[in-house]
Amino acid sequence: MTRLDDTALSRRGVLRAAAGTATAVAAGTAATGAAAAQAYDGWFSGDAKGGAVGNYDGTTVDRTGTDEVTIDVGVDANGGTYGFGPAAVRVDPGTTVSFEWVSNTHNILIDAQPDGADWGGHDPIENTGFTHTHTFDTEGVYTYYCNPHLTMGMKGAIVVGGDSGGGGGGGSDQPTVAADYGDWFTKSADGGATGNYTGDTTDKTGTDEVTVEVGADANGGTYGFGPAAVRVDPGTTVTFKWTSNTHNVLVQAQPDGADWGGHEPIENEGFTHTHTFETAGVYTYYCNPHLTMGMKGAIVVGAPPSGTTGGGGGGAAGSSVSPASTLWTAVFAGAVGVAMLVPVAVSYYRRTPAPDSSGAFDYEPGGDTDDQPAIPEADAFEPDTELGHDEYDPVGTLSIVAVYFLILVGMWAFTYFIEFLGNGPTIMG
Amino acid sequence: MTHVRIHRFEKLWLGAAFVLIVAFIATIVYGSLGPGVAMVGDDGGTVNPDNPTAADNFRDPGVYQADDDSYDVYVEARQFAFSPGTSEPIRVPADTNVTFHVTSGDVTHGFELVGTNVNTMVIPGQVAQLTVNFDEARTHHIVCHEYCGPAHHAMEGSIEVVPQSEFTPPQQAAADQSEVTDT
Repeated sequence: MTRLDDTALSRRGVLRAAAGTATAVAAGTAATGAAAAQAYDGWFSGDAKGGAVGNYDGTTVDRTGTDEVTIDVGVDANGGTYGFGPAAVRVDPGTTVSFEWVSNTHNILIDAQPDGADWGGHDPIENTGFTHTHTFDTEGVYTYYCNPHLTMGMKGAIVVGGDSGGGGGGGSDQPTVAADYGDWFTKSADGGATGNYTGDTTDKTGTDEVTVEVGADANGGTYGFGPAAVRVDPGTTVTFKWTSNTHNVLVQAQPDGADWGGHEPIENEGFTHTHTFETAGVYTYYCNPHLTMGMKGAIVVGAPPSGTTGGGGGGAAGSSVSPASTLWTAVFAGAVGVAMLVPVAVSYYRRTPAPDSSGAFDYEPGGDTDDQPAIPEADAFEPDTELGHDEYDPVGTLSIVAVYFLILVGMWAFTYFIEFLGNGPTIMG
Repeated sequence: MTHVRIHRFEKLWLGAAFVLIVAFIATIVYGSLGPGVAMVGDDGGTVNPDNPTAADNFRDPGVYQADDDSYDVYVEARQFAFSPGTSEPIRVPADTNVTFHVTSGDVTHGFELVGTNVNTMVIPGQVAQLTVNFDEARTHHIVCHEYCGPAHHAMEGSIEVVPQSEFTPPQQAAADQSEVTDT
């Protein structure tokens, strides 16, 4: 139950880190705070057991001040319905948290909880509509996960008590969001690197309607979103317009409280999907058939942080990848090409007679033999004795056939009677 | 032009090869009639893949007693778990006929008891039906052996075969029995 207690998870330290997080997000639940990357002692990263949590953006949703809090189990995240929504939440001691199953095949197992806490989680796997409630009285950090989807990153955390942040910096009515996509556009994330993401986020703030092309020419074919990264104001209606065939739009991650479902059916040229983005934050999405080609996109909803224009932010990581890797790709491809042509070149060289020794390779049997000696015929072979058809016994061949036969029979007996019938149980009906 | 004469040694090994072919076929016949080895057929029928457990020929996933020495186990495979099997082991008694009814609620999965001859493909909309007699009380591991998604490698479960004397029929089976006798 408290496996992590004696290792690195110091409760006080975590609380301190989480308090910092709460301060950072006091303005709104969806702001992408860069702080608290170390919160929860790495529980949300891929270094802990299970996968990295795609729907944890470094923020802890503050739900202090309410007696009842709901966490959705199985929200769209982590490449399917494999997320807790929200992934990290802060509540007051004594708060009753309802876990509501919104998709199938999930359970809740506890990774760690404070000493004296008695939360049992919910081990049986349940489906949509199930609810598990628990009242959290003991202060501290609780981490939990869904066992079937742990490897996908279906992990969550609840912070009970501690400093609720005091609402510092809550003045601005327009949330600012940094264009921080993490490693989404590199090949460290799911799928390939996105070639048409240059590190810049196209600024479309100030317009009510924005169009994103689905299947723009990029990534070695019609495998790009155009533009790959775009910034819009909250409340903007984004139209996804299919400009080539066989694409869909799946949501990789979106801010807590956002309800964009993407468009999972695969559609062809001419199709449009529209969604109005109300919740501020960073949305990442991709086309499933062409994910490996790097067909990934991002939408930032909200104003850029003061001091940055348009949106550099996470772009640095992306842009540093492309020029060097293109050069190395070209060098590598060239080397492979040369290596493949070498045998062809060598064989061509060897078959072509050198120009100064024209006669050396001229083989003309019975041709003009003026300057070459005639090749003598071998003497006809005379057998000492001749045997009739049935008089010769190929005993050697027979013994080889017999040995093969015995090996075959032995393998047959071993495979069927020992390996197959001996390795019960067997399907009987 | 002389007619082809076959050497007596050649006749010998040609004859032996024919005997071997007949013996191979006889083995398959023996396996089916003697130990009763069977293939997984289509007797399981079909279900609605969107809601397999609602079908008439499928029940809520779990273990049900059919009669004194035969049990039915209904298993639903989903990304990436067997229900039951993954979060709770399937408990069945030894030396009884256990019929597994396995179907999928999403994509194609596999159902294999590691190291045994028990395995089948689990296709959405189809019920794979297979009867197994466990003669030994031990734990078997279930793996999905059809690639089903990014966490396919983590999809596993277990079957606990317990001696008949230690086996208590699950509550749901008892409830279901009374329901059946009422109707």
